[in-house]
Amino acid sequence: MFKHIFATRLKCLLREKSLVFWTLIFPLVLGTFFNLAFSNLASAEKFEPIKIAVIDNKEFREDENFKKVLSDLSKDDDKIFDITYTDEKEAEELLTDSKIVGYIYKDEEINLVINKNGFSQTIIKSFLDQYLQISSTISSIIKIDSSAIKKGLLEEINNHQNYIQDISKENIDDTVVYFYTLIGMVCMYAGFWGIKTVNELEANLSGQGIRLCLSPVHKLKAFLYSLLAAFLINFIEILIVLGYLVYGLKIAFGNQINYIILLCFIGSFTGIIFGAMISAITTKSENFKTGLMIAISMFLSFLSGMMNINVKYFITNKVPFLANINPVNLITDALYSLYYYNTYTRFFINLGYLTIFAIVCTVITYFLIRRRKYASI
Amino acid sequence: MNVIEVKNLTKKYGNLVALDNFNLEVKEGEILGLLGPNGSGKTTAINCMLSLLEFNNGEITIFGKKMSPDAYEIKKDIGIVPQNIAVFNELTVYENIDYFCGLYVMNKEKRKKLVDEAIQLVGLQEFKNFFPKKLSGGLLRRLNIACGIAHKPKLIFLDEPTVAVDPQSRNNILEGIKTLNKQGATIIYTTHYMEEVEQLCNRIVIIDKGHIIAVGTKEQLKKMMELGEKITIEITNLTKKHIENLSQLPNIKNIRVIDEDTLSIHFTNNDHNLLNVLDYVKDNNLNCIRVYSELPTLNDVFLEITGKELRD
Repeated sequence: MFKHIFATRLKCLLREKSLVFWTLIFPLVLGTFFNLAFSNLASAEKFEPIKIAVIDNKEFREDENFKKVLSDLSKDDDKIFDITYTDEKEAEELLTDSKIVGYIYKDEEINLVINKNGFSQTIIKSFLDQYLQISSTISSIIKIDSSAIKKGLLEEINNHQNYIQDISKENIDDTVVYFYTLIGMVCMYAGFWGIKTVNELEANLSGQGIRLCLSPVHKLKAFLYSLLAAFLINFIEILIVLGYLVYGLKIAFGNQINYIILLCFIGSFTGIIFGAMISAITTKSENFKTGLMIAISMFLSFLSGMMNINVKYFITNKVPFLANINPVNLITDALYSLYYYNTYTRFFINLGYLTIFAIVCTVITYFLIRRRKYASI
Repeated sequence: MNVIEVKNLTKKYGNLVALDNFNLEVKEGEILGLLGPNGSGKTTAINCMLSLLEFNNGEITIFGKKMSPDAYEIKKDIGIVPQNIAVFNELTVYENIDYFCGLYVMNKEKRKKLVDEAIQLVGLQEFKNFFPKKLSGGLLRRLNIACGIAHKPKLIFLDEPTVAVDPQSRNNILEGIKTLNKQGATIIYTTHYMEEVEQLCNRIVIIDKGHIIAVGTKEQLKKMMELGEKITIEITNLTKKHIENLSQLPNIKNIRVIDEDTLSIHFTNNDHNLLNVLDYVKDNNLNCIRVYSELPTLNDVFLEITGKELRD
């Protein structure tokens, strides 16, 4: 019987195009739009190396320290300067053509030539000031103690002690929260499957329910088998969305794949049972319930920061109870904590609240659908 | 042997009494028609019998056992065709019948045979790979029936299965029901279409406002009401005196004035009544425009009992 009901329910649900759209296609499209929007934002904020020229004259070639510092600052991915070594004439032309921001030439002093003020010019100036200040400091110390270099002065100057320990695994990028909320929303959209499952099970909601209730199949068993079919579909859909975000859009979800799948597993079940509960509570039409589910999911997603991340912070700080009973927020926050923190405490607290929410929905749904007779049909 | 016995069934919706001390016996192998206007309590009675609805009082036994929601042994032998179309739009005709049949029959080969037989019975062979949305109203009704009877139940409830269907589908459905009955199924058929009941049912239960108001074969019911033929006559120079005189004719049950020129004369039997009426018309030089005689129908029975038309 399990195979018969399970297989037929799979077939029924998968052929329900509107549900497949809302639970799979819509999140994929929304994720793509998010990515387009946020990648533009990121590129606008990304630091571009400052293009400068350095006059490659005798004084410069003889100043090994300065050469080394410039070389260090113009290599690797996080370089500050993009340097062209050239003569003064060409440097002037490059500056006139705005192909460089400024150029440095060294005689007895280090000079900076720019033709206008700006953010990049300020950075070059700050760098040179800092270089000169440190050089001057070293010279002063050596005048007092000529053996200072031998005692490790340069190493000490270079040894910057950072008193802040970064325990996050990556650099913080708040935009990932939008994608985490998207996963939370997909989990809640599982409610559509729950609504359909209960609607087609209850005799007071559909003719199919009448047939089922009059068959020699225990209603709760039929409910369980149907729910499993709905769960399998939604769970696979979430994995597809997750895979698309991680591998297609390169959104950072961290490496805790087992925990992420566990979260999606419980999140998917929570969404389905929440929808089942809504369907069992009211005898309104399936369209009404679907509309209600969309409205609830969007509202919960909004409170979780899908439209504006500050809403999430506001709710978490001002109305923490609401944050703790909002499944979308719990999923979002669990993914966030899994990614940024090196402990799992916050993740499991979120997972715990989510599980409690799912259990409450399950108990309510059970008491609503376990009835064997109806007051009216 | 009684397949169903309902004793003192009472069902209330708040203050509204939907069924009031409803008693019913359904005999094995018969087609029982539950006849009544919309809202009379036919579907409520069926849902109570099937333990779908809570009821306030009463006792229901099916196949000699008390019916309850957990009576799976009883349910195995019951088929239901609900009033509304109860199929999955996402499944084809074949898949729908197979799914519902599969709730009763696990063996795949046996099920395939049963599904094919059901498709043949309702004449959907050409449409078995169609999705319900592609079917006409009549074909959908046929599918609705096939889903309820494919597992060959001993007792079938058909709740207004021919509502809004074309004549071809109606005939097909009625023929299918007769075939099921011939194959041994006991059938409870609810409708407000008199012709179907007359054509199909061995016994008729007339319900109105939650009460059974008459039970019997159609002949018994007509006899019970002393209903004979009905003559309708249109006379242009009709007076009250003529109506009084006409009411003195033999076998007259009553006369109803349809309008100022038309009378409907009801008799207690069918013996030479038309000749008597025409003789009176001729003897009194009445200007008769038209006259016709009809045998009584179940609608007349219903009208006689309740004072209203079945399809009010």
